[in-house]
Amino acid sequence: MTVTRDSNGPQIVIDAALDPSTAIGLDLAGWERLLSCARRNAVLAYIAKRTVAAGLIDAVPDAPRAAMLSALASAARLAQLALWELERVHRVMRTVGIPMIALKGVAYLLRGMPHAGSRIISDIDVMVEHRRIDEAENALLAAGWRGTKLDPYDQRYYRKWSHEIPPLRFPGRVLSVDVHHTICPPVSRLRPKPEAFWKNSIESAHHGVGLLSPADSFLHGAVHLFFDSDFDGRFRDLLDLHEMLTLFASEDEFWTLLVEAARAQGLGRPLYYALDTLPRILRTPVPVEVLREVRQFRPPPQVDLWMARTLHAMLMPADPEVWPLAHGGRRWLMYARSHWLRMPPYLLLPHLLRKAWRSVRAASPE
Amino acid sequence: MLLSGPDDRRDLPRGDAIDLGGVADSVVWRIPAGQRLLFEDFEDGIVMFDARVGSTHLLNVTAAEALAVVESEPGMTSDAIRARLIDRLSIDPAQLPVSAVGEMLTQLENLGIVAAETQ
Amino acid sequence: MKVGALSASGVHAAMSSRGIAIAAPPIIVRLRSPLRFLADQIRALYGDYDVVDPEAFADVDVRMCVVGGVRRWRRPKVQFVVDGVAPFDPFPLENAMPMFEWGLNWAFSQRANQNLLLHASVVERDGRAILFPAWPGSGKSTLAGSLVCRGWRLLSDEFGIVPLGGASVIPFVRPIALKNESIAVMRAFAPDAYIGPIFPATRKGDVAHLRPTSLSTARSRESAPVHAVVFPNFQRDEPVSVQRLEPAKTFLKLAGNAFNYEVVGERGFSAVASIVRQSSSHIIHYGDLDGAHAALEEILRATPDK
Repeated sequence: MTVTRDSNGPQIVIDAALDPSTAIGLDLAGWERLLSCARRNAVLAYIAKRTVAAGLIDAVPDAPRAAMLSALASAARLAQLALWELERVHRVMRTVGIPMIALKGVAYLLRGMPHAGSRIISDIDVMVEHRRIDEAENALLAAGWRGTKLDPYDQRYYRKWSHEIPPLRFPGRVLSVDVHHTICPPVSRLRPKPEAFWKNSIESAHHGVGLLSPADSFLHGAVHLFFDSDFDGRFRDLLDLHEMLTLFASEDEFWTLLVEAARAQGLGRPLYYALDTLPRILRTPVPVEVLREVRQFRPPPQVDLWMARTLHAMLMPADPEVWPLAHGGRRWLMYARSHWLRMPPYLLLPHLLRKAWRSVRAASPE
Repeated sequence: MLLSGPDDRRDLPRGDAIDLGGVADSVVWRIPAGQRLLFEDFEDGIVMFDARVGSTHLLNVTAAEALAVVESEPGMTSDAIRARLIDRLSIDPAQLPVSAVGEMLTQLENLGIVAAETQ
Repeated sequence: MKVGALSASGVHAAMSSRGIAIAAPPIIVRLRSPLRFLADQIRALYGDYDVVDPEAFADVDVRMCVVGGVRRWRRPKVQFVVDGVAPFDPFPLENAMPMFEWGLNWAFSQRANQNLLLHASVVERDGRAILFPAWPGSGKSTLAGSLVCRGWRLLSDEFGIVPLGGASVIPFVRPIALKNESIAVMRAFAPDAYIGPIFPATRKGDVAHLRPTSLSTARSRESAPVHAVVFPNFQRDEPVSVQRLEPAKTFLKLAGNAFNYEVVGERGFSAVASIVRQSSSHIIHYGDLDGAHAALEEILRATPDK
């Protein structure tokens, strides 16, 4: 039986993500563990970017440095494609007068956040008002974008149960665009009111494309840590939240607005989990009084304890030496989600449908 | 007029067909903010790299010259650009109809290489 | 120490435990797998390569794992695992070797964006590299393999690796993958060359691997400037002909055929331009390998260094 290599990759990755200088002392074997684990968790470009920003890239030995710069180049290209796609979509929306808010990876790009480039994988996410979503879809189709290969039956389910229309892609381009009308699936236990997101939204520097307010951005990320995030990429999602707190914490009244928005929108539970996990895994500074405040959103003690353990296990960086992933872990997380969301299994359909669409697309010759 | 890369180019960001009525007098042309264009001049054509979008294009002399005009004299209408081209390239005006220049500029705009502004 | 100096069971033991780490410049690859037949095939094709410490840095870490087969009625398959991810669907177990070769190419191309990666085979003679861009029907691997059997140096049969900032190619010497009819053609052309077993009916047809010559492995860190870009067209019984290809067309074909032209961006644009300006570009039509070789000799003769 092949030997599993000694692996403290996850801890090396966390340390380097928080402080690139911790990696400089690594020997080459340690560097390989860092690269491998960072790749496994899709955070190599992020660590590379922070290493460059810290002025430390030349202190990295040749082979790891080339690997980091290579990852940075790939992420930079995806960021370039994302901004181009956003510009093309916005061009159409502007022509028909539909306001648009950028979400997730492309929003991080507009905010100039360091990890932004590495968050773009296959699509950009934007949001329009629910009442205008059909108009938006038609405008994009008229301007040349093409819809998915889902059959009409699946299309109906997608539109009925999901919070977005099926992805659109302009022929010849790499990224597709997901047009949302709210941030959570409408049938979930969480029903935030989109009107509040629009009311609190701010304008980005990018010619009138909107952004969610800092509090709403964070809550959106927290919701998705428990909703849409794949079983993989969880550590990266956590890093998003960490980056947002780093960016927003110094803004006036941020913490007050955050707790208020969570209370008003019924998003207290995800906020609690996020603020409980971040300091423990990423040593994110959260004011003590805020931690005290969000305890009002806790689940009952047994659930709290069990969730804390589960989340810790699930949100730490995945170890590349472990393959395949233990089935138990996946089942656990599915159960945790459906239990918490109190969604009967059939309502997880939009999530699974979306994954199925992605694998259909991945398999098609392009 | 403007030749895009051949079929074996992959992932080339392509323009989306929005008609801006590029010939109208109310439209003037500029290089978009943050634009950077690199050129390599060969005996059989000019290859251009759009560093903002990351796309590569094959241009003929007229298109390359039009870009040079827009870059050096931003804010001109397509009529004025046409006049410059006829002058700089010493072409017979009949060889360069007004509609052709408008079409070329619209194509360039669709690719994000130039920007149109309605006055 | 060379891989070939280890005993067959030595290679197997290494792969079954801490892994065998092989230096294949510009990378070091570490391979772990319990499969004995794979160990034997690795030993045969990589016999001339240096073994390095498996605990030292590897650029690519590969596990060829057996999947399925727990139930008697399910035939076991093999999976290519790199950094804890299996990027491809599993292969039939017996096709572990071609899966390793293709997977390693894929993994390398994902992490080598400090170079422009052209999809091409590259050979060298007299300090001049000739690049054969890949396209269907080009026969780039067969052509490169045949030249290597006649004393040319192999740089690569899959990648024209151009470090950014220059117009030279660095080697990535690996077994040459021959497909379908080329296998028999190569056996006839070079009966003494070592060709590994045929893996029938893979996704790309029948595949067999031609072992690179010691000349090639010995000089696997030596770069060479691009002297000529040659687009080969094989048509059985076609008489040999050579045409020049204009520079802008060459530019677009090279850029279009690269793996990562878009990712490297501006520096890729400059690299392709440098290659085009520094080299001459030709299309050759040929119906047999000797004809192609003669055409290449003619190209070398007629094109002085720029």
